[in-house]
Amino acid sequence: MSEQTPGPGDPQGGFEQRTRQVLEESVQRLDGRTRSRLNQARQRALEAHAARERSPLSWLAGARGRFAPAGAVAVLALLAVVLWDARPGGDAPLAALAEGAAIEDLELLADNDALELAREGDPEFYEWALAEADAAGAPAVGT
Amino acid sequence: MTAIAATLPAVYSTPAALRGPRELAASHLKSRELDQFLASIERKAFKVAQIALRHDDDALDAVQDAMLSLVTTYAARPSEEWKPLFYRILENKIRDQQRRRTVRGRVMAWLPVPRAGEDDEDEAWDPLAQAASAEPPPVARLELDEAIGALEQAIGALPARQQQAFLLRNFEGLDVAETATAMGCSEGSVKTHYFRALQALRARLGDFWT
Repeated sequence: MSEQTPGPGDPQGGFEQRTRQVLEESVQRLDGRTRSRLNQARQRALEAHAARERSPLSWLAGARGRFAPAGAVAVLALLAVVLWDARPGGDAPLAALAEGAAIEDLELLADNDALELAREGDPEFYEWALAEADAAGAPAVGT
Repeated sequence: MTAIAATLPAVYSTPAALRGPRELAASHLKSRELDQFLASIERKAFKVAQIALRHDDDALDAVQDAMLSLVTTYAARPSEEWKPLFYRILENKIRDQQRRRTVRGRVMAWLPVPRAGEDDEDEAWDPLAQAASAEPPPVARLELDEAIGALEQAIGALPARQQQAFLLRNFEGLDVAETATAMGCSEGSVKTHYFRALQALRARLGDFWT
């Protein structure tokens, strides 16, 4: 291909070097106003960067970036389980399990006594209940 | 690390509850790195935009917009990627300016001509703007003026892609791969555009430049 970059001894190479020197010189000769405005532009850009860093949203965006792969895998896994469970002819065991657990949780929440017991804790009551159950030959309370 | 974090400016204090000292220090370093990068390219970037747009204020606007886009969108990328990315953004900003100018030209044709100096009214006095630039002695300066004028005119007359390839490769010093990234084309295209630009400039500027 003829589009080879010329070597140092090549007149084309000298031409490239000369044009580069002239352009460099033109940059050195930029006036004060232009240099000042370029400096201001840079400062504005850096302020924008700092403002972005200050914003909590930027942290969320960063966190999203960091956790995105793990989140995507979790979502895909969940989707796979749901689709498997909902396939035609499936016995939907997970749905039934979840439904049963939900009903138990609701009963526990609705039962004020059970909540109070769980909160306060009463070791003497548990010992008594266990002894009663043993004496009666019945299964212990709560088993 | 804690000592570094303690010296960080107050602007970074808000997300401290969310980020640790290590991340804050990294953020501070990133800002410094961005500052150094932008300072290293701003004048050449302006020259590239000025040759393409042939208008100082439009060129400054394009450079500023490109700086903003880089720091808000690509600051997290590795710093080695910044230069080709910046020039790619700058090229888009230059094209935007050229389109805007075309539209503005059509609109202005229907409006009354503004009075001289009207545009400068809101510009504050800036002492740095009054500073003299580093200039050679008068005779050498005259020759250099001619050389710069002729070269900029010749580059400005090149087709946009050749102009871009020439300035990025020859002036900004990007390699072929980086230039291809900045121009959004293949390395083969970069070589072709660059070679044709050299031929055209040589034909236009003559033997004086060799």
